[in-house]
Amino acid sequence: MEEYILEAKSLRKTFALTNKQRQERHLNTLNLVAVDDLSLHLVPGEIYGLLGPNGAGKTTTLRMLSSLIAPTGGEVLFRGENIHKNIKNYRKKVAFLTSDLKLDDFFTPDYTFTYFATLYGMRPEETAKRKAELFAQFGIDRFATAQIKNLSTGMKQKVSLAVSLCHDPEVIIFDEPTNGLDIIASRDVENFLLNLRRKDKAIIISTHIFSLVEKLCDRVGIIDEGKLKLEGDIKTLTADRSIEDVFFGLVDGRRED
Amino acid sequence: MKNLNHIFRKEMRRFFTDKRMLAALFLPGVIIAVFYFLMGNIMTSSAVTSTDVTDSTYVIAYSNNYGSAEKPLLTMAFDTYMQNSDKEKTNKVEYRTFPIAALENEKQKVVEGKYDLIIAFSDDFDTAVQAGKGNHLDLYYNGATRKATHVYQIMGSLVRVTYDNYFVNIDAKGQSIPANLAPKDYMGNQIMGIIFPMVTISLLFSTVVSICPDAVAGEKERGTMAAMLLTPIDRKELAIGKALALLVTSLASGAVSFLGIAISLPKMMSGLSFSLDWWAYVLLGFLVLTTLTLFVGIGLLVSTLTKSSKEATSYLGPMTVVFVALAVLSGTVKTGSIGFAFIPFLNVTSCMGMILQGSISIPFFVITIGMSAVLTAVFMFLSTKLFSSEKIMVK
Repeated sequence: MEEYILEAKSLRKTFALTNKQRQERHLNTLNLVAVDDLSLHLVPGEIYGLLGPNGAGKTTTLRMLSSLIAPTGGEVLFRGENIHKNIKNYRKKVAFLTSDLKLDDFFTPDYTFTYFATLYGMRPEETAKRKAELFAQFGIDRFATAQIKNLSTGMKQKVSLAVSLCHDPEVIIFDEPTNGLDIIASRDVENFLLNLRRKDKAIIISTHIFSLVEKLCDRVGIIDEGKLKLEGDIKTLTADRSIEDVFFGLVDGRRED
Repeated sequence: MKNLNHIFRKEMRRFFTDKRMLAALFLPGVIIAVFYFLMGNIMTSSAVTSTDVTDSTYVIAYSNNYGSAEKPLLTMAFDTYMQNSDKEKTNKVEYRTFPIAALENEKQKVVEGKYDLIIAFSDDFDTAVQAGKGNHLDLYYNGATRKATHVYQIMGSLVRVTYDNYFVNIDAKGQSIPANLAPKDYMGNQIMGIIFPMVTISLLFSTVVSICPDAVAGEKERGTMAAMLLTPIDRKELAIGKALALLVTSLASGAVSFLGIAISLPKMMSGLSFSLDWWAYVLLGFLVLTTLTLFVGIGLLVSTLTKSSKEATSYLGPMTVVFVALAVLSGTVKTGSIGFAFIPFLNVTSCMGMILQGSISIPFFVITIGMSAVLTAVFMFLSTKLFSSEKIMVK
C-alpha cells in the first residue's frame, strides 16, 4: 500500500456567523459550513492541486492541513498519526506559504530568515547553510542585508518563500503560489516547486490558474461549497478535455441545478 | 525560555529600527518638557519674577494644643532656620496662637492673606511624637501667594527633620486634607488639577496608540502572525515575549516622559507660586510608569482583539478623549475620598492632581498603584489567553 505522508479524513470546519455576516451572505443559519466531509491524501514527490471558486473552502482546507486552525470534525494525519498528538513535531515538518505574507519592512532578509529559523529550533550552522542555499536559489543573496522595504515586490515574495521554507519541510502547503508575482518571478516559483517535487517533498497548492495546474500538478481535487466534488490524476482527467473544461463542467453544472 | 528571549529581542529590534516608532516613543517626553516650559514662561512673565522672598514678615498661626510648655518644637526649628539661613536675613516671623476649635475661622484668615501659614496640631502632639506614638498635624497655606508657598515649603521640610512619627494632612480615616487653601477659581489650582493630568495622560496614551496596534494586529495584517503561529513555539511564549517588549519599551518611553516632567515642572510651577518636594516627584514617577504599563495592557488587548493596525488605532484613538474627560472630571469634581481610588483611570488623574496640589494621601496613592497593577496583570493575562484562540489570532 502506498504510504501517505499527509492525509485528511472527513474534514469539517464550521464558523459561527455574526449577525452582520448573516445579513451580508443572506443566510439564515447560525453557522457557516466552510468545509464538509473532505478527504484527501498526499504522497512524497507529488504536487496536488486544489481548484475551486472563491469561497469554496480551499484556504480553510489548507489552513487545517497546516495546523493553523483545528477542524471541527475529522482529522489530519501525518505519517498515520493525528497531527495534534505531537503538534510541535508536525510544525517542524510542514510549511504553509501564502502570498498574503508581508514580512516586516524594517528587517533585512538575513535577520528575518535567522529569526524564523531559530523559532523552528534550527542550530546556527544549520541555519547559515540553509540560508546560503535558499538565498542563492532565489537570488536574494545580493540583497540579504538590505531592509525589506527597499526590495521590489517580486523580491519580497521570494524572501517570504525562502523564510517559509527555512526549516526544510517535508510537506509544503501553498495557497495561491504565484498570486501577485510577475511572469519572471512566477516562473522561478514554478521551477522551485518542481525542484521540491524532485526532492520527494509532498506539495499541495490552491490556485485559480488552470495552466499552472496542468503544468505542475500530478493530481487535482476540485472543491466547491466545502465539498470535494472531483479528484483524480491530472492525465486521466485531461485525457479528452482541458482542466478548465472539467472545472467549469462541474461548477456550471452545480449552478444550473 | 530561549524562544521568549528571541521574541523579546526581535520586538525590541522592531521598535528601535523604525524611526517613526522611535519618535512616537520619545517625543511625548520632549513635548511635555517644551509645553510646561512654555507655560511656565508665560505665567512667570505675568507674575512676580523673584523666587526668593525678601523684606517680609511671615505670619504663622498655630493651635495651642501642641502639648509642651514652651513653643512647639516645629516653630523652634523654624526660628533656628530663620537665624541660620542667609536667604532669610531680611525676613522676620510673627506667631499667633489659637484654640483648635477655632480652626475653621483661622483658615479664613489664610485665604484672606492675614496669615501665611497655619499649623493645626492634634492634641498633645509634641508629647505624643516624642513618646514614639504617631500623631498628626495639618498645615494650611494659600498657594496663590508666593510668600505663603515659600513658608509652606520650608515648614514641610522642617516637619520631616523635626519629627519621626507623624501624619501630615491626613485625617483619622486616612483621607487626605488639602493643604492649599487658595480659592478654587485660582488659576494655579485649575492648571495643576486639570491641565497637568490632561496633558500628561493624553501624551502618555499617545505612546501606546503609536506602538501597540502594530504589535499584534499589525502582524496579523501582514501575515507574519500566522507564520509565527505555525512554528513549533509555545503561543504563550509568543504572547509574553511581545508583552514584555512592549512593557520595557513603554517604561523607557515613560522614563523619558518623566524626565521631561521633572525638568519642566519646576519652571511651570514657579510661574504659579507652586512647588513640589522631592517625594512628590518620586510619587509622580511611580504614577507615570504604572499608568503607562496599564495603558500598554489595554493597548495589547485591543491589538490582540483586532485584525489590523487601522482597526486597533480606531479603537485606541478615541480612548484618549475618555482619559482627557476623566482628567477634567477629577479636576472639577471632588475625587479625593478613598472610594475614588478604586475607580480605574479616574484614580490616576485624581492622584496626579492631588500630588501637585500637595493633598495626596498615601492610602489613595497605594490603592491607585495597586489597582493599576492588578488591571495591567488582568489585561496581559487575557491577551496571553487570546493567543490560543484561532478565531482571534487567524485573520
